[in-house]
Amino acid sequence: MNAVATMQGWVDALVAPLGPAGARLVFGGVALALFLCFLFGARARRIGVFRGVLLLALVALFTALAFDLTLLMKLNRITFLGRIRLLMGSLSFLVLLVTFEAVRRSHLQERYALLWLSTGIILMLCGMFTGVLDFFCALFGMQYVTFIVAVIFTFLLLVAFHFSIALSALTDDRSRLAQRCAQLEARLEELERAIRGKGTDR
Amino acid sequence: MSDVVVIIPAYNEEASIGPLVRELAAALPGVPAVVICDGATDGTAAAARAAGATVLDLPCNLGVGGAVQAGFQYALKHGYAMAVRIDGDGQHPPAEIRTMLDAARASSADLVVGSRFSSAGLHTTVFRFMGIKLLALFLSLICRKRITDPTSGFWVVKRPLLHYFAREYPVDYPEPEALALLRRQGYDFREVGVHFRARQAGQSSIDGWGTVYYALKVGFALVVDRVRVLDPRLARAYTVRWP
Repeated sequence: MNAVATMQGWVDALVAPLGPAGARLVFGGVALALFLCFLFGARARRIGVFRGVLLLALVALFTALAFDLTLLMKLNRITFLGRIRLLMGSLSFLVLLVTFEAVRRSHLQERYALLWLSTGIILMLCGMFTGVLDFFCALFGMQYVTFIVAVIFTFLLLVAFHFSIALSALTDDRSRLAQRCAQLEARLEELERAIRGKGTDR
Repeated sequence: MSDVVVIIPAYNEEASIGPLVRELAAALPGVPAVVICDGATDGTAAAARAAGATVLDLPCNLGVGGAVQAGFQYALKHGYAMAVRIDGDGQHPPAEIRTMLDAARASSADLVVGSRFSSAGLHTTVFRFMGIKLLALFLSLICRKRITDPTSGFWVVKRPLLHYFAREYPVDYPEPEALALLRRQGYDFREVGVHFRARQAGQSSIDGWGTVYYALKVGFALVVDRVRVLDPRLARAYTVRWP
């Protein structure tokens, strides 16, 4: 079944008892309520970047629905390729947003963020310039979607490999720290014994 | 008893660290030198000890950011009013430290940066010079203050700022980022023109692919630092009252 048509079915079911004007009012009201939520939330600093962006996207959707009840039907006319490009665009935007926010809160170091950032940027470029990708698709004998999956897969592989290297370095560091710690402890005990020995002499 | 300590991060500087520490002792008698040996694989720690320096021998390689932070923590814990930070490769001549210390004592700034461009001669390649100039322009805009040499590691750090850096200090290539962050926390710095020397021995850590990584990492970090979540308790308004 077509997902967009299903959603339009829900909208139609809502419009039937209310009439077009009533349905518009409801959508407009929902949009306004969400927008007020966003405003107060942002003012009181109760919502972060994520919830803010999500709320604004919902506000935009409901406002658009209030203006045009057949909006979803129109969305349905977007081509297969267009929809994939939209998905790629939002996916890459999400990757970039999550990475940026993690670095901003100092949960992620820049050196690990760079690979994620380049993943997001490449995904975004894939969504924006299909013409360039056609060349690579022809070269490797792949469909556009297959190629996108291949690109994502390659980058995930790179990230995983990067993590393996980082993990190995951490394991090395950890054993070195433990060894130094044990040696310091032994030295401390030696000193303690020497002091105690002096104490009994007196 | 000196209220100043010199901290020197060193990674595999076996050849240059000994002469540097001795030169330091001659130029600034009575000022202790602390060498932070950043998990070096050669005899850096032994050479520094033989020359009479205190050595913080890190068991694993932390990068220059982590090494310098260890030095700041040492200076803070031992009650020094100022910490001079110089490179272990001999680029920063000990004879210039007195100029920097005089400037630090005369000024209310929390950090004095020795700049090789503001008056004295330069020792660098054309390509790197252009990169540094671009970075300086960007950083000057962010900090709303003129900076000529943002990558200089020739610093005098006063105690309020030691409190901040001992707790939070950037990793990898920390100097430009640290300048941007300290301005956001309400600290101030000033530049002093000094003469640098060519490195005495060893290799620069920034060449080849390192240059690309450096540009990407520092560029990205500076953008994020504009909106990074900072700890308000480490702002100058608080740390200036701490012992």
